[in-house]
Amino acid sequence: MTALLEACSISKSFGANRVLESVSLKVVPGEIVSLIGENGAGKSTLSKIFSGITPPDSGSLLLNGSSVQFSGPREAIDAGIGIVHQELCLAENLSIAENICLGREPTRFGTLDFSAMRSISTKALQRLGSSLSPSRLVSSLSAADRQLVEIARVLSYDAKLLIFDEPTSSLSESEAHSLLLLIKRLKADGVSVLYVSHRLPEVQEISDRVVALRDGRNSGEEPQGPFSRERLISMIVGREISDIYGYTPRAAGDVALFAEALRPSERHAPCSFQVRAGEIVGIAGLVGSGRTELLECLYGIREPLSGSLALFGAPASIESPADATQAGLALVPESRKEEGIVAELSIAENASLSLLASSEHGALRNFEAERSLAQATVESLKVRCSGISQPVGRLSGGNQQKVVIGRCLATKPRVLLLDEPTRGVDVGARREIYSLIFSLAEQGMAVLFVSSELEEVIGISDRVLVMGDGAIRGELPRALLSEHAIMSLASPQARIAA
Amino acid sequence: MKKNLGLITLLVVACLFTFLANDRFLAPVNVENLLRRTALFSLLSIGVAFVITAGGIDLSIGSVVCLVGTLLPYLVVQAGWSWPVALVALLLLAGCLGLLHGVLITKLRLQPFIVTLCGLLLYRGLARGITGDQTQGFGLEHEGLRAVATGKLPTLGVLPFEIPSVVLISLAVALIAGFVMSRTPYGLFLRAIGRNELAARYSGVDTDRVKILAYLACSLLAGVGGTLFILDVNSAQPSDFGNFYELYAIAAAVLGGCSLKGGECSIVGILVGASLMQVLRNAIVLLDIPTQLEFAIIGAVILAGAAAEELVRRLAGRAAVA
Repeated sequence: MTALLEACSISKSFGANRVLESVSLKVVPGEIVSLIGENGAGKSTLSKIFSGITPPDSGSLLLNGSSVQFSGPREAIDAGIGIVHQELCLAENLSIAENICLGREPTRFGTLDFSAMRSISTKALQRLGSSLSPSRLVSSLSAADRQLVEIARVLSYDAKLLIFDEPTSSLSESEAHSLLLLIKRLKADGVSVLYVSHRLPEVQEISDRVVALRDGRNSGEEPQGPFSRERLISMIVGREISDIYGYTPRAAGDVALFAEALRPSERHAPCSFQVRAGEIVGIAGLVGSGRTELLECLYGIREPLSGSLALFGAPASIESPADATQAGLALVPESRKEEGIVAELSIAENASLSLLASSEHGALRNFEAERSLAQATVESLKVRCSGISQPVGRLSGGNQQKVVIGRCLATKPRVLLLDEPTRGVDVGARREIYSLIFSLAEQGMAVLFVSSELEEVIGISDRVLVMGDGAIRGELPRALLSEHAIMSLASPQARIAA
Repeated sequence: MKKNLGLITLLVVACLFTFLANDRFLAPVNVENLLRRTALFSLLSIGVAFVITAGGIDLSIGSVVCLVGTLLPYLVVQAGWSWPVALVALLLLAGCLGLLHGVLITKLRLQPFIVTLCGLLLYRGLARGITGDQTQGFGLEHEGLRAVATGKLPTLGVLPFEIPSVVLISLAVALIAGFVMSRTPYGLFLRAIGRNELAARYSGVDTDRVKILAYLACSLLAGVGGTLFILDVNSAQPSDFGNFYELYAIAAAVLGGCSLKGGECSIVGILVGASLMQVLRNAIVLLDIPTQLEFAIIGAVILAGAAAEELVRRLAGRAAVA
C-alpha cells in the first residue's frame, strides 16, 4: 500500500546541535503509528517537520508517493496533515467556534458569518461525539475539552493524518482513556494517526506499529503488536554510556535537607526524602512528573499544601527565595533566561546579585569586592567572555549558566538545588559543570539535581529519586542505576489498566 | 553623560531659541522662576523614577500633591493645627499612601496602573471633599514657613541672579537618589527587577520589599513636592491644583532616560528632562504663544525628541554592527 506520508532520511540541525540524523518514517492510510523516545530524542522536531512548522535540512517528504515541500503549516494543512500540540494553542478569550474557524472565518458581505461558523464547529465536534456548545468560551473549558476543540479544529480542515504530540500530558487518567477511545474511533473513520508519546501503556494499547528514536536517529521499529514493555524500553534507551562524568564516591555527612510529606500541589502526593552533606541526589522523571514544583517548594517559590522541611536537623520555615538564600539554599532555576539571569546587566552585577541580597551584606555596594568576586567566578568556572562588564545576555548558554551557578555559590550555600542545569549547554561546558558539582560535593555541599536526561542523572548521582505523576515512585542507589530501571519506575503503569 | 547628550543638546537649543526670540529669558526674575519650577518638578520626577525603574508606574502623583498641598493650609489655617504637626502628619500620610500602593501591587498583585489610577481619582476627590472645594491658602500668615519655598540664597554678585532655596532641597534629594541608584544594592535591585523580576526574586532579592519602598519613596516625594508647591504659590484650588503633574513627572523621567519597560534610570538625565519641560512652558509665555496651546506644544516637542532619539540610536546601532 502506498504510504500516506513518508519521510526519507530527514536531517535537521539547530545551530551546531544535530537534532535529527537521517530519520525515516512512514504512515499508511488508516494506521496508528506511535513515535517513542526520550526527551530530546527528536520526536517533536520530526512532528514539526511533518506539519510544516520547520523545514528539514535534507531528506524528502513523500505525500501519496509524490515529493512535497511545506513552506509553512498552512500548506501541510491543505495537504491534509494536522497537528495537535503538546501545549494547547487556543485563544482562551474566544469561543469554541471562533477558535475552530480561526484564520479562515466564513464571511458574508465582508462580515463574520456566525451561523456558518457555528455549523462548521458543531459538525466537527459531532464527529468526535462531543456535544459542547460552539458558543462557549474556551477559557471555561477543562484541559480535556480544550484538547477536543483543538482536535475538532484540525479535523475540520479535512485532515487525513493527525499528529498528536504528547496529548495526554495535561489530562487525568479517565480523560486520557477517552482520548485513546476517540483516536481509535478516528482510525475507524479512515484517519491516520502519528502518536508521539513516552507513556508506554498508551503506546502499547493503541499502536498498530511503533517507531523509536534515540539521539535523533531511528533506533528500532516493532511492525506489529502485542508490544512488550521491555522491548519498547530497550528501543528507547539501549545505548552505551560514555563516561564524561568522572564519578568518584564520597563519604556523606549529616542530613542537610529533610523533607517530610511535602505536598507541592493538588496533583502531587506527599513527598519525603533527605539529602546529606556531600551527597549528590538526582531526581529523574518525565516532563510533567512534578519535579520542578518540588524544587520550587524547597526554595520558597511555591507554598506547599502540607508537609514540613528541616535543614541541618532544625525545622525551617521558608516562605520566599529570600528566606531560602538566608537559610543556606541556592537554586539554579530551570529556565535560564526567564529565571536565572538579568540579561542586560553585566556579568559582575549578575554574579553579585545574590550576595548583595543576603542580609550579611552592608547598605553600600563595594565595587572592588564585586569585581574581584566576578573575576574569581569567571576564572574558576572558566566563563568565556570579553570581560566582567559584558552584559550576560551576550554570552553563550553554557557561559550564562556558569554565571548563574557563580551567583548561587557567592552566598556560600550549603544546599544546592539544580533544575536542568545543562539544558541547552554544549558538551564542553557540561563536563565543566559536572566536575564543579563533584568538587562542591567533595567540600560538603548537599546537591539535589533534577534532570530529564537519564544518562546524566546516572552519570553523576549517588542516589536517584524517581518521580512520576507527582509522587516519588522509588529510590535507586548508585549500584542499581540504569536507564532501564529508571524508566520502569517513571512510566505510569496503572494508567490504562485503571 | 554620553547617554544624555541628545537631551542636553535639545535643552541648549530650546534655551538659545527662546533667548534669541525674547531676551527677557535671561532676566534674573525669569531665571529664578525657571530654577524654582524645575527644582519642584524634579522632586516629583525623581520619585516616579524609582517606580519606573522597577518596571511600575505611578499616576497618583498630581493628586497626592493636591491632597497634601491643600490640606496643609486647611489644617493650619482653618483647623488651627500648629504647622509642624500638620506638616509631619501630611508627610506621614503621603508615605502611607505610597506604602498602600506598594502593598496592593505586590501582595494583592493588582496592576500598578489601576492602583495608582484609582489613587489619582481618590485623593483629588478627598481633597475636594474635605476642603469643601474651597480655595486654600495661608493669606498673609506664616511668612516664615513659606520662606522655605520662596526664599533665595544671595550669590553676592557672583551670579546676576539669586538661587531659590528649593533648588538646594532638590539638589540634595537628587544627590541622595543618585547615590542610592548607583552605590547601594537597592539601586541594583531596582534595575534588576525592572529587567527581570523573576530572576531577581530567584536570586534571593526580596522583590516585594524593594517595590513597596519604591512606591513609598515616590508618594513621599510627591508629598514633599505638594508641601513646597503650596508654600510657593500660597493659594490653591483643590479642583485643579497639581492637575497633570504626574504626566509632567513621568515625561521628564522618560525624557531623561528612564525606560517605561523598567531597568534604566539616570538622575542627571531626569534633571535635564525636568528643565526642558519647564523651559518649554516658559518659552510659550515669552514667545507670546497662546497658552491654550501649551499642552500641544509640549506634546509635539517631546514626541519629536523621542522619535529623534530613537532614530539616532538605530543609526548608531547600525553603524556599530557595520
